[in-house]
Amino acid sequence: MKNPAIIFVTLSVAIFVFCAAFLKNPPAPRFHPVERVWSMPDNPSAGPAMGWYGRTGVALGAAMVVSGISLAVLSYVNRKKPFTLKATSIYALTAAILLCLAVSMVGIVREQRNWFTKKPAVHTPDHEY
Amino acid sequence: MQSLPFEPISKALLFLHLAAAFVALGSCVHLLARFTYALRGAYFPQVKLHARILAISYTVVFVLGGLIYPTFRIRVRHDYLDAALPWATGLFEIKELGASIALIPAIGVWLLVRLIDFRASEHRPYIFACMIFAGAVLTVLVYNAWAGWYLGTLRSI
Repeated sequence: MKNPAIIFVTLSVAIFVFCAAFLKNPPAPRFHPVERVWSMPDNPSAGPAMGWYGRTGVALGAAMVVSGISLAVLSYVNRKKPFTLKATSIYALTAAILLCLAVSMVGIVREQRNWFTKKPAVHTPDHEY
Repeated sequence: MQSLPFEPISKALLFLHLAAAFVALGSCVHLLARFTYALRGAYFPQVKLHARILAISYTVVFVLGGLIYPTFRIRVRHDYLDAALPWATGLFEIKELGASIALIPAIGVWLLVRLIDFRASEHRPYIFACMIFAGAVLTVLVYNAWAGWYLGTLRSI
């Protein structure tokens, strides 16, 4: 694979799909580190859960499947006629990727806003200073 | 006390996580500087080396962070931050989710740089695209380095 246009479009597809799946946050397995078990959100196990592994794994899986299809299609097209992108298309796609990454980061920050407004538990010292 | 996955070696993993993060930060800054020069017409063969180092070191940081996470989730987040300093949990969540978002761009720079002819004018838009990818990765790396250091001053594993 020597054509940067194919890799660039495939990477763009991977980033768009990953960000969309990551923000959508579909039901994914959660890991319970104390019990060392996995569970689905609709059938939760006891104890603190970690959703990051499942969320990242599902988004990465979706990105790999769709970008793999994109790579196969573009490679096929490239064999018939060399696949190229105009400079304006590359700049436009780059701007779209930047926007996608920025929107994803804003979405992540918004997701976590409850942690910044939550009042901490009252701490009662067990001795006087 | 029941041991968590990778807890006995979590401090060693945390040190390697920090070391790999420094490598990733350094290579990303170098890469951005090289791309800036490349857009002005200068070419440095080290660009491909820096891109490879960034992709490998970022992946190592990402995997090691994933291995340390169960210990942090219980011993630090669950036992202390969630109740006493909920805003610190928010800082950490942004750190871990941001790290996932920047994974594909970090590896993507390397995949793309391998195919760019830095002397060909028609490849200049790809250099610009790589610069944007590296800039996004650097933004996440700088925030994560700061958040990791700051959370470590509150409580660590």
